[in-house]
Formats: sequence, C-alpha cells, structure tokens
Amino acid sequence: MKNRARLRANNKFIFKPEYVTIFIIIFILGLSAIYKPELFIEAVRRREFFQSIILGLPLIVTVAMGMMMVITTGCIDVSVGSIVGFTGMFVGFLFKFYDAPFWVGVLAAIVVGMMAGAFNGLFISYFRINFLVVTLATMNIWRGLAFVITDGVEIGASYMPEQMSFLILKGPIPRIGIPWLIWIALFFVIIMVFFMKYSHFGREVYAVGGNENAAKLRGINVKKVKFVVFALTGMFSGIAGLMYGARFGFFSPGDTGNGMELIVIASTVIGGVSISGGRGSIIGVVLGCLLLGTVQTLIPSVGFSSFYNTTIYGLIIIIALIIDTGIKIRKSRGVLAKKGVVGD
Amino acid sequence: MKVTEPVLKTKGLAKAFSGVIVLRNVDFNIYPGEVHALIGENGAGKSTLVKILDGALSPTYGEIFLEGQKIKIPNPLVAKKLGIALIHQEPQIFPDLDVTENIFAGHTRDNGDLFVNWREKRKIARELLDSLDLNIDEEAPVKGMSIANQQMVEIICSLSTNAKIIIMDEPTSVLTPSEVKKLFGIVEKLKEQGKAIVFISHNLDEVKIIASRITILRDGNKICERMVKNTTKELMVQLMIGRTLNKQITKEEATVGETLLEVKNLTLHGQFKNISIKINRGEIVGITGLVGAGQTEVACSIFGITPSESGKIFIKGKEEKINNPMEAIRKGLAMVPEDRLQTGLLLPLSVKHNMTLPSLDKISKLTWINFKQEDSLVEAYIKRLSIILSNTNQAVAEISGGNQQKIVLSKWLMTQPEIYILDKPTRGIDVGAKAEVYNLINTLVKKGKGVLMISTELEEIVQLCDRAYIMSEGIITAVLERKELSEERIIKAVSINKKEVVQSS
Repeated sequence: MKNRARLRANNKFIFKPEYVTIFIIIFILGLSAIYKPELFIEAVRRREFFQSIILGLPLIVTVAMGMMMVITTGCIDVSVGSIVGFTGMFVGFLFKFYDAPFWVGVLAAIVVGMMAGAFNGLFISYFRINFLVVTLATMNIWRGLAFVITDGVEIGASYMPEQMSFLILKGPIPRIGIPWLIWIALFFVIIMVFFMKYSHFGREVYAVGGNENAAKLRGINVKKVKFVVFALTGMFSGIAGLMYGARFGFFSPGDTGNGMELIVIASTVIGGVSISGGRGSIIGVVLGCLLLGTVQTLIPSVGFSSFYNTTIYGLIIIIALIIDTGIKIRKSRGVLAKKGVVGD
Repeated sequence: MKVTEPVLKTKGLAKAFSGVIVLRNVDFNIYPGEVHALIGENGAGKSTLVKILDGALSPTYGEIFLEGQKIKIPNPLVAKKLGIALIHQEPQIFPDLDVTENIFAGHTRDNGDLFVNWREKRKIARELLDSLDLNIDEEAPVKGMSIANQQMVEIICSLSTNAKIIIMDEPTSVLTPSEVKKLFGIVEKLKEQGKAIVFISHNLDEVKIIASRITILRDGNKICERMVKNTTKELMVQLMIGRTLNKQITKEEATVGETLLEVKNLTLHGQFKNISIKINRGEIVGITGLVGAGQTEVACSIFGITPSESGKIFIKGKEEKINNPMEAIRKGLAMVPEDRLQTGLLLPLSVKHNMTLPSLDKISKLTWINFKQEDSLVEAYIKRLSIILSNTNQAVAEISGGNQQKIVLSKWLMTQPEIYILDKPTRGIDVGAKAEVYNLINTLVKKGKGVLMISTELEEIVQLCDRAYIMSEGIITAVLERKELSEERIIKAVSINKKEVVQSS
C-alpha cells in the first residue's frame, strides 16, 4: 500500500520507558558528580568500582529475567529472595554433608528452585489465591526452611567444590578477564530476548498481562501461563542461589538473597515493565538492573552509609510507578477522546 | 430469490439462570452472504443468545446446527475452530502488542511451528488488511489507534481463523458516523466473501441500511423473523416494546408550584448531549425511551456521580455546581438507583442500618448514635410505607424485592429531600408493590415535592407524568406535556434518529 511509508513515519518516535531508565542512570551519576566531585572521580577511577557493579549484576539480572515475566502477566512475586536463600542453603548442604559434585549442585538448584516457584504457581493459578498473599507466605516459608536445613549455620567456601570458585575467577576466554558468572547471565538475557519475542509462550505472557479477558476469549490457557511463569521464576531464583555461593564464597540462611525481591522488583519496574502487565522488554530490565547496580555501589562510594540502600530502592520503585501511571493516564485520555458517540 | 440453506441454525434454544428464564425456545437462522440484524431491548436476550453461539454460555435446552451438522460449543475456542467469531462491543485487544501480534495472539501455534515466524505472519496480516482495503500498518502498535481501527483489527483476527460467521455485538455504538460508514463498507465486502454476519444494534436506521433480515427478541422470546425491506422503523419499535396498557395506575392531582430543579444543556461526551429538563413543585416528570438511551446517565450526572462536562443546574432558581453525591444530598436531592441490589442497599446489613445510613447525622450527637431516636424513626417509616418484615434487625438480603425497594425509598425519605430522582422505581417488583410505589410518588408530589422518574414502562409514564422527556441515543427527541402523552407519540419519538433532530431544530 502506498501510504504505508507515511503510516510508519507517524509511528516512528514512540516513547519508550527504557529511555527514561538510561536518563536516570546518567542523572544519578551526574548528581553524585556534582555533589561529591572528588569522591566521585576517585570512585570512578578505581577498577573495583566497576568490578563491584559488574559482579553484582549477574544475580540481579538472573532473578529479574523471571520477575520480568511475572510482572508482565500482571502479578508480582515477593518470594524470590527467599527462594534464592533456600536453594542456596540446600545446595550448600549437599556440598557440605554429601560431598556432592558440582553438577549435582547445579541440577539441585534448578530443580529445587523450579519446584518452589511451581508451588507459588499452583496456589495462584489453580487455587485462585491472590499472588501477593501466596508469595508473602512462601517468602517466609522458604526463609524459615533455609534456617532449618543447617540449624542456622553458615556454609563456607571450604566445603564447596572448586568449580564454584571458577565461576567467579575464570572465564571461557582467559585473555579477556570476564568470569563465567557474567557469561551465564548474558546467556540468560540472550535466550530470554529470543524467547519473549519468538516463542508462542512469550507472546502469550504479553497477551495475558495486556488483557486477561481477551486472552481467555482467544483460547489462551491463562492459568497454565501463570503457573509456568512462576515456576520459571523459581528456577531462575534457584540458579541465582547457586550463583550467590560463587559470588560471595558462603551460603548464609539469613543473608543469602535477603532483600533481593526489593532490588529485583525495583530494577524490573524502573526498566519499563508495566506493573499492571502487558508491557516491558528484556533489554529494559537489564538497563534497570544496571541502574540498581550502579546505585548500590555508588552510595557507599560517595560517602553515604549503605543504610540508605533500601530506602533508595523503595524510592526508585515509587518513581517507576509514577512514570508508569503517567503513561497509563495519557493512554486512557487518548482513548476517551476517540470514543465520541454523541460527540459529532 | 434463490433459496439457500442457513449456515447456522438453532432449534428451541433456551437458557435459564438459577431459575430465571432469559431465553425461551429461540429458533435463529443465519444465512451465508447475508447480514442478519438481531434487535430487542436490553435484557431481551440478545447477548445471551450471542454468548451461547460464542460458547461463553451453554444452553439449558436446544440444539445448534452448523451446515446441517449438529454441534456443541463448550467454549470460545471451539467456536473459533468451528468458524464462529464474535466481535465484541468494546474491542478485545492487547494494547501493548502491535497489529500483527494482536491478530495472531492465541493462535500462533495453529500451524505447528516451533517458533513464531513473524515475517510470515506479517505477510498474512498485510494480505488480510489489503483484502479489505484497510489503511492500517501491520507493524503499528494498537495502543494509539482509534476504536474503529481496533475493531478492524479484531475483524481481521476473525478472518485469520477463517471464520464463516461473524457476530458483531453493537459494533457501531463506539463509532463516529463516518467510522460507521466505513464499517458498513467492510461489512459489504465481507458479505461478498460469503461470510454470514449477525449485526446487533440499537440504531434502527443502521439496521435498515445494512441488514437484509431481522430477528426481534423480547423478554427472551423470538417475536419474529422478517425481511428488513418490508418492516418500518415504527413497526420494529412496536415489536420490540410490545406491551399492553395498564389502566390501573391513577394519578392524583397535586398543586404545581415554583420551579425546583432546572437543568440546561447538560452534556457529557459520549453519553448524552444538550439535555434540558425542568421540574416544578408538585410535578412528576418522566424520562423515557429505549433502555440504554442515556436516561440513567443523565440522572447520575444531575446527582453528581458522574458530573457533566458542560451545562448548568439550577435549584430553586439558583445556579449550583454539583460535583459529588454528598453535595447533591445537601442541596435537597435524593436518588433511588436502578439497581437496588448493587448500589441502593447494603445487603448483609440490617433493615434498620440501611434505612438510617444517609441520615445518621440527624440522629447522632458528636459521632454517637442515639439508638432510641433511631428505633423510633425507623418504626415510623415502616408503618408509613407498610413494609413487611419480622423485625428491623433482619438483614435486607432476606426480604422480598418490593419491600427492599420501599426500604431504599424510606432511606431517602428520611433525609427529607425536595427533589426525588427515581431510576426505574418499579423494576422487578410485583403488581401490588408497584401500586404502593405509585401511591408513594403521588403522596410526595401532593406534599409539594418534585419527582423525576426514569422509566421504560410506557404506561407508567403515560399515566403518572405531568411531562415526559423522550430520549434516543443520548439526546432528547421530544417533550410531551400531560395532555399530549400517549404511547403512540412516545414510540414515534423513540424512533426518531439524532440527525433528524439536529436538522429540524
């Protein structure tokens, strides 16, 4: 059709929430540069600063891949931090008391995490209990069980197989010093970009979140979609549990994955995933994680106490929601204006 | 005329919801290459019939035949597979996906591919869009599109699944006149492609233009199936309403005084336009028309629930702004809503608590309620309205419909308003209770109050009202004074369409 080029041109500049994320990263860096220039320069100049950001990312990104799907279906999962803690402890327990080889640990992390997520999905999809209540409950169930496994005792690096330390120290290409942990997270990101766009399931996730009723009318099995999404989120959290041990060199029932749900939800929503579902991209989520990682590392570097951390994560969620609501209000106004029945 | 077999046929279709029959013995025939209009008032059973054909509801009795084969439609997915597509009144789209993704959402798996081949899907989408000469970009997001184009996307979606029967549920109610024209062009093209189209609309002019056959439903019964070309609009309305006159309602004369409420040029975009109504002391003023012509919306707007965008409201000659129901109550208005179960009553609470809720400040001091005063007040009103119940602590849910309606009324009587807005006050109550409600209305106007009554029961309007405003599609098409009021004149005014009014005024 002749008019297609023109049609396309009209739609070219679509506002994308991802742009906001990039803007905020620059804004925060700028703010800290103005506020404490000497400390900022010092912090940025040091290699550890970037290392700290980069090495903190794989865990957040991995869990966020699941959270992105959960929020896109219009739900939220606050139990991810506890699933990270529980699977971490479980894997550590296998390492310490059964001398389990590395691959068993990996398998256990995937299976235990997935089952924990499926447990959430079971109650949310098939027993129709509110997702917030279910995940709030399981958040405490898994955290409690994390303590039960070893009677609250931490598991140190000395009990872990040596491959665990390779994850953080070595990489597939020795000359470039990028460790395995980051390659794994990158692998998940690439798979998910493809999965959300080209798999039937990925499209169904967007459809369910965008308009659940319409999805049902189109014959999409909404319950199954939600169940699988929660199970996959559990799986990602389980893998992140194993990664925690590699990153920090210990598993602790209290610390492993503690408060992670907040960081992950914050990076997902600031990355442009609509809290009411239906909209969001993997790339946006990665940018969101980068933002949170920067903030997390920057706060102590420019001389603030890290006690501010959770407060700032909370504020970031609020900011993201304000942006999200702003988009929605604009959208609904647009629709109303076009809906003239008696109007003309 | 050549004789063709119906592509879809229902035989003796009936549906009952927990004992209430909403569809009785309906034989509905849809022919290929033909537009078949389904008309009737709200609650006549149109949407129930459509939902059965779409598989959202299953019939209590009756059979459905597709091309001569007996079929069962347990859910919308099966309906789709059989080639029956429903275009919803509000487009059921996914706002954040683009056009192609919308078209194929839910059936990307159909051809058994492991992954979605978007390039191929876009090509198919383009071909379908071109087949109807639609100027829509297959890669554009649906979010910013007009409702009309979103509707087109849904129609294309039905084509992508090879639908043979396309049911359009009030597709024009969300469109502007030029968009309607465009839709009709598309419908014509679909007809040429041999699709059978079921067209539901309240707008009889549109039915006359687009449809070749109509089926009229009333109270769950099929009244008739006719060819459109030998059916006038007036006849359609008559067949849709088809009620007999009830002479038992009596109006008692009351003295008419000064103007209590006057609204001028009230407009709410998409709901109603230029509504001017006047109510004097001692008058019963009616608003009527087909169900859903905007009467309730006008009432809600006057009462401040959904304030109008423009227009003026005068109470006793003084201009007032009413932004919420609290202000309306303070200014002497009371409204009895149509759906008393949803908005008029708190079902699990007791009769007493329901009745005194809006007038608690009259029987309390600093927030503490004077129980003695409350009891005596409630007793007085129960006697006055002869409400039948075992005791005042009974839950409202347990008592009969007529008595529930009286409780809603007494609740507002207690606030001692001057102007009553009654939205279908006799809906769903028996004859005896109706007579009592009429008596109550008569008593109110005798005491010098003003009553604005919304009703679609013509005999009520004809027998009770001093003046009646007839609405059609959001505008007033006629104002009839008491001596001019007759069912025939109301029916005539109902079938006037808005363009004629704009031209004549």
